[in-house]
Amino acid sequence: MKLLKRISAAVVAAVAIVVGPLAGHGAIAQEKPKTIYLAVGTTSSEYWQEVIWGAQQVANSVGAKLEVYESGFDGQKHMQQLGAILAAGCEGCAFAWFPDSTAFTKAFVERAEAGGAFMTTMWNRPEEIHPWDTASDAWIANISFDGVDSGYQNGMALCKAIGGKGGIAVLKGTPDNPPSKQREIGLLKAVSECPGMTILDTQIGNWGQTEGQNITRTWIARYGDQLKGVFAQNDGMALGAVAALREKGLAGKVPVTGSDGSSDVLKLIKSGDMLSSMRISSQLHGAVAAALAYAVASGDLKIGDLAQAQRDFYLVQTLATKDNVDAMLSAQPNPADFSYDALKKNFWVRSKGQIPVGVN
Amino acid sequence: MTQAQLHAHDTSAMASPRRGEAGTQRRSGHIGLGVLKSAGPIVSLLAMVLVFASLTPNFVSAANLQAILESAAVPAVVAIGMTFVLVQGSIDLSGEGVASLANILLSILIANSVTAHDLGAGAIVVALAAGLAVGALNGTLYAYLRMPSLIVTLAMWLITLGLAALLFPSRQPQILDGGFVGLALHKHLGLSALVYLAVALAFVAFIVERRTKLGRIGFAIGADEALVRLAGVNVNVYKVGAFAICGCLTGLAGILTAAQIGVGNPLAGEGLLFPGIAACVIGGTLLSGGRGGVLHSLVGVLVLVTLRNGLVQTGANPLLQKAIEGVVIVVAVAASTWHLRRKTRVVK
Repeated sequence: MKLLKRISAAVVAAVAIVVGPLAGHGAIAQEKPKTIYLAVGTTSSEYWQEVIWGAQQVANSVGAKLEVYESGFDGQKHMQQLGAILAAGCEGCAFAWFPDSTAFTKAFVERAEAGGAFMTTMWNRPEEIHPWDTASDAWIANISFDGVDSGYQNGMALCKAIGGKGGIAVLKGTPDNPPSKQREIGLLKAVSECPGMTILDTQIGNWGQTEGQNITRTWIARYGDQLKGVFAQNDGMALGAVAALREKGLAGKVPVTGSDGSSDVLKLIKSGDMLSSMRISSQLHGAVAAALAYAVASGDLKIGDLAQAQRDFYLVQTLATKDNVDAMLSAQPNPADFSYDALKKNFWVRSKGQIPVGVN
Repeated sequence: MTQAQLHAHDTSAMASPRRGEAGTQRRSGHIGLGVLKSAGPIVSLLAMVLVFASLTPNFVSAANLQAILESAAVPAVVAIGMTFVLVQGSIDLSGEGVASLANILLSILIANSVTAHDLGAGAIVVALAAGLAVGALNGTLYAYLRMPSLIVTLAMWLITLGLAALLFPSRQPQILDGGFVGLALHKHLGLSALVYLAVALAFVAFIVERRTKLGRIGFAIGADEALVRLAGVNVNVYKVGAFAICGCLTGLAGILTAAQIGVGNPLAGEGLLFPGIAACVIGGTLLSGGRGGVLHSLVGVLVLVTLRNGLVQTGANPLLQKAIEGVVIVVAVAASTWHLRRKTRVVK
């Protein structure tokens, strides 16, 4: 048995020596990357774990290694990590990168360009720069989710749930980041279409559960029966709001909306403690970001051939409500759907269109 | 004088939180002035309550006072633990990591929606033990290897956050143990068990601080460690003790957060550290050690929580709130340490 293995290994090696140079001749245009570099905000959240899972499926399907870089949402840390990778020589490398804030996006893509690498970015793009006008040989695409749509759909769900009339309170993430801004624009659009719904107060909860809980507690004491609903810009703060309402026996009576569609929140929607949340396709986010970076780095795709709508786009999302939550909870993502070959057929098949002007 | 006598003499002289000063005042009959001097934080708190109450009558409603106390419970537990470390002149920065670790340990070991474990109260014991162990390790590294507590605990912050991330099962575990979640939900006289627990802990901590060697020598270490060593006291043991208490209580804070939200989160400790330290300082516990105490720190917690609540109640601009918080911290600390400014204390 052992001997057989050795012989076959020797044969394979001999064939490789003879055929290798010939095969290499044809493929000299571009070497396939052996590593995909993925930057994430944290590994301690369901969303980011799903992003990693999606990118991992792409890497597995092409036999590449996925290296994950976590920053704890500290842009400087990602900057150091990127600098270290590029310093080691990384021409033609594939980066699927998360700029921790819009302040870092330009620096990341320009560094990638200087290092001769290719990069896709997730979420944070400053309003004034785009992949086609900044580091355009390296910055392949920016991929995000439509926060305006999230704010609008959650807002309209809230409007319906309170019968079109009454005061709601808003838990905002941070003052200066695109998702927070977009979700607010969307909510204001819903309010304008639902004039009976008024915003009692807006507070900054920094995306956190405990802050969401403390603020909601204070709102309950301040507004009492006037508080008909809570609009939270993410699931974390929504969880906190539900916890505060639960303390007063109001969970399920005062509707709460979130955004992300994490599994714990889906369960609260199922039990009726929460009204809705925008479920984003997080696995797809990681997979498409990784696959596009790999496609350009391996020569399957030319940056110059891409249209603007292919370089700055939203991915699909679905509002989770009591009506569809069971299906969402039971759905298990199929790794085959996230393989490079599956995505390559059309990377943009689940795009929701180009990101419009004025929302970042 | 024997070693033991020397020890007893020195530590009792040094151990009073308002060492020397209080004694002198008592002798010279200036008790009223002394109380006024150390009452800065309470005066700040009352002034704040008066201002908010005049702006919105709703502020002093029973419902809002309940909201303030519920929000103060977890920060109070953190501040109590932190006080034991601060009075020794050390600092513990590992709090956010330790609380996160305890939170995620608890939520994957108690009945939950992700893992198959169900240790019940055992999960609480494991999570508390983890906090205690990390705290004791902090203290040991600091006291016996003579590394600055700032650096040791900074490293431990990262280590425990990393461990919490490792233990995170990719999805936030919902806690299904009704009794545990009930700690935050079931109300007795309008308040949850968490508030009563925080009050009970404060009482016990106050006794430990004033009536046990651990507490009294802690103050002495903060005031003048060299003198305490000279008196033959095994200082390191008390240092490790203080850090162990701090670690255990911080772990408890992480556990209580899990009860409040009903979901485990490997970042649950975020936002606990700096408000915790700020609360202690606002209350008059000095970072240089030797002064302050548990009750001071509790007043500091109430100042911070009341401030945040009041700003929401009065409808202050949310973008301005952080700035206002900063101003109040400076003013409150100035008020509580005003009487110290002429003393020959080194400020650094």
